[in-house]
Amino acid sequence: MKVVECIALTKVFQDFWGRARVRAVDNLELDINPGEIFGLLGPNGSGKSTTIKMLLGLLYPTSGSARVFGKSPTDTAIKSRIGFMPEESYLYRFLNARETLDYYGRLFKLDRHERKKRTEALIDMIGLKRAANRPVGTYSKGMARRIGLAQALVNDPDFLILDEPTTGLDPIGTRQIKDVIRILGDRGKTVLLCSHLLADVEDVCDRVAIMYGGKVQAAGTVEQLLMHKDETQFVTRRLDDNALTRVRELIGQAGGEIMSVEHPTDKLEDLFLRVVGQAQRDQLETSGAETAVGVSEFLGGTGRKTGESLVASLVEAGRGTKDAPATPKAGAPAPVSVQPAPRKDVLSRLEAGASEPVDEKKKAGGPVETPLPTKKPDKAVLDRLMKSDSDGGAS
Amino acid sequence: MSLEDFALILIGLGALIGLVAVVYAIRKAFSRGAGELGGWEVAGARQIITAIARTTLTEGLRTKIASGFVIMVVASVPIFWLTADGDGTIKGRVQMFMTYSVGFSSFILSLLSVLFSCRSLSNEIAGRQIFGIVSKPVPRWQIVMGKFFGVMTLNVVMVAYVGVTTFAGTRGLVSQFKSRVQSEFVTYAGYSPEQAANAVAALDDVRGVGKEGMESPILEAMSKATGFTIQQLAESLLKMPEATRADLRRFDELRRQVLVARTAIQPPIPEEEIARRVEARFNQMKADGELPITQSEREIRDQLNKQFFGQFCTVVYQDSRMWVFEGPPPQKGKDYIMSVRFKMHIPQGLNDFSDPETGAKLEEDTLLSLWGIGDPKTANYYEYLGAVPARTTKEFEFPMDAVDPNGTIKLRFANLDPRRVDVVFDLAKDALEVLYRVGSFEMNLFEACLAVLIPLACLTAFGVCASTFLSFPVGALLVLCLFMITSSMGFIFESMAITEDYMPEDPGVEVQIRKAVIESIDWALSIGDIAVTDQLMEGRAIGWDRLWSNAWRFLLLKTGAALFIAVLVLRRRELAAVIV
Repeated sequence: MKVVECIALTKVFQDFWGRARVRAVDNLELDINPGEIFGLLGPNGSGKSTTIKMLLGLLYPTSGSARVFGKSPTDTAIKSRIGFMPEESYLYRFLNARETLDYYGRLFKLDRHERKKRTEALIDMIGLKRAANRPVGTYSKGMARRIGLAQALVNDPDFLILDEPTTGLDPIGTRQIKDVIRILGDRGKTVLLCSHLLADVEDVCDRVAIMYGGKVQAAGTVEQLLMHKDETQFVTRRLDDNALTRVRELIGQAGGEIMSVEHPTDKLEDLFLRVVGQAQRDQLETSGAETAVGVSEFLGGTGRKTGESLVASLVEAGRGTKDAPATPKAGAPAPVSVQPAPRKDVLSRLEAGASEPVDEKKKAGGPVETPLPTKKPDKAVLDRLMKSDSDGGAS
Repeated sequence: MSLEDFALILIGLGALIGLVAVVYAIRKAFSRGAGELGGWEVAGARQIITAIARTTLTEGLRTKIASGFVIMVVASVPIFWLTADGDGTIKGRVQMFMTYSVGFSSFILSLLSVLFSCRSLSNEIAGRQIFGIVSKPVPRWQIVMGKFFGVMTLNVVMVAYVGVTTFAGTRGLVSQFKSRVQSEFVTYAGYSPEQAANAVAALDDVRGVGKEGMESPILEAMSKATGFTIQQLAESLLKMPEATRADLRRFDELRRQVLVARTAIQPPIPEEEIARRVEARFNQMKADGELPITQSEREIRDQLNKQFFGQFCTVVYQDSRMWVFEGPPPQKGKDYIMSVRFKMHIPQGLNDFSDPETGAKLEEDTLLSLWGIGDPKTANYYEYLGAVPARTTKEFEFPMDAVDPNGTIKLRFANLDPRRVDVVFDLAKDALEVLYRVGSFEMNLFEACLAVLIPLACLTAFGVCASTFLSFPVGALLVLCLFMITSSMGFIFESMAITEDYMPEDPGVEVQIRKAVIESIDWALSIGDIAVTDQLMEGRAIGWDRLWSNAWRFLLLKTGAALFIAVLVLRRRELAAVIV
């Protein structure tokens, strides 16, 4: 069973007199499989948030249908399996962090002991232990976002919907949220990440769909969408001029052409994290969030009392479909045509002069694990895709 | 086309439009459109409703809008305790304190209920905190109930505070009064502290009908407690300030007429007898050819009816009238007393009068009258002769053994005033009642608190209902307007000239429509019919039957209807919808 299934989902907003004015979502066809980290990309006003709100029952479709865990989004029973972090942290300003999480825990009918345990674990996780007794109205935006994430996790959801989760967060918070998403993905949770921050999506998602004008313009795995199929990149320890010359000769002999040779640079995010990490290790005072401590164990971890088999099956199911291509339905706009991505270990095979080996798992038809690339290709590809979409269609 | 035909067409059109609107609303509410279909789950409702109510209550206490009102109520009761003075007597102070404390608090809590209930949910929708609730397994009816119970919890806590502080304040005023009297016994009468304490303690043991002078049961009780003779006590009291002496009697009245729960019975109006007389008189006029040709039969009969009812209420000069009340079984003993409460109307002002033979004087606007209670043929018959102020409500007591064994009370009034004036008791407006004790002040105060909660619950439900489809200021203004309208319905009835006094003999269609519209508005908007402060001030029992009657009419019916509409609206509402 798919976690999310949208069939010709359409939402038209009306004016005061009931006249149709804005077609926010237009015949959307979208599936999200169990255990998948799915990215919903698109510029502002592309229909991402409207889609999410229809999946949560906050908006009702004008036509078409959306199913979550096979049921209508307005079915309150399925909501106990969903965690939702809205695009802004809409919190009760008069409650403190503990009270906030306790309140949301009550809405899931958790018993007192469980609520207390999860509240403390989540506060630890988001690094707000020292500020836990302050009203959240006094929090910075980033701190409020962290509470927003914690409340989305309080029920240990099977399906986590994150709407612009890194908005307003500092790089540490952003990295932490991405880490949380990855870990939850590893634990078999399904995550729908909605963002227009391409780096966020690129870093964590298995599959993405790019929306524009209320429709999916492109969909597929990140690698499928981003890989430069006609280019090859080497990353080595520093080479002297002599070695570089020999490499150039070798490549030239193989019929290749070197387009650029340069020294790689760190991402600013990495530098920032190193500097702040050192400050935190030196225990400098701060009134904001502190270093977080990973992901709470209760979130689908080994200590779960219930749902272990479900989580395991979701993980298994997720692996089996991880490399599955996007599945646009009949009648939906044609997605971008994408070739299967080359394997990451091409360098070693090139060096060895061997032909590409056949993946045994793939040959056997078994699940194929696609590790996230450590060094991603240029995300300008996504930008170009979106630009071309906005220019009038898929490229 | 006549005006009446036009009015009937308008009524028909209005009814048709109303019917279409109701059918459309029901169809929308229950249609299987794209909106919410499920959401009536009951399992686990208590936990979720409690959670939402708890957060709502926390909001009330931590945000300025509700906490400001809470502080006003909390601070006002002690301020009233310090400042309430009334007519300067202990009875006046206690009455004024109770009126201010319960009346003002009820008003403030009404405003709190309206503003807080309108604000809480609509602000959550506007501020989108509602996303955090609706995205969780919370049916929308539980959100509505959570909000309602959250506001009502605050109301219950505040009403309990008002009830407890009013009780404590009343006791405090009494205790303060006793301390003052005790110290004055020591200062002015030269009593030892122990004697003074005994004399004051005796005030709670006064039994029997209150009388003036040496016959006062207060003197009797004090004499028994201190060992002094009545004469000695009277001399001691004469040394004390006059205000204190008057206060001793007012305190006795306070005990028996205010700090109690009494029920009232009115004299039965002999409608059949009046109708028989009207019929006979009408037939006679008809036979004599005296029927006015300018009036319809109905107008003539109405006029005759008023005339005979007026005669039944009027006691002319040198005449007497006996009313028979259906009362409780008689009780023997000094502890059991009843009161006659009355208000006499006289057509014109009365000047001072001095009898040239005896020299006896009657003050302005007082009426010489004789009241007799009981059966004159038995020993349990009591008479009161004296000048009584007209146009003000007065009360005198009589022993309960004056009641006949079958529970009837015979009350006789004789108009003896030499100034030849007729006296009218407006029996349609409770101008003559017999009151007797049926319960304690404490229980009555408790019932009064419950009675205060009924309109608050209605207002809260109206507020929650409005907040499901209106923003805070709009919803609050709407409900406040409704509250103001329902609070001034008496004025509206009068200004629209549809009270009994103003209704013409034969009202036309236009008047009937006006009356029907105003009465419908009154029926739809009224949120309770117990005047709690009046009841407490006059020591009248509210009674569980009256409370129940109010509870089902206003609490179950109106509150339930408002909350049901709120749930239907919220279930249909797209909480993240935008109007473009």
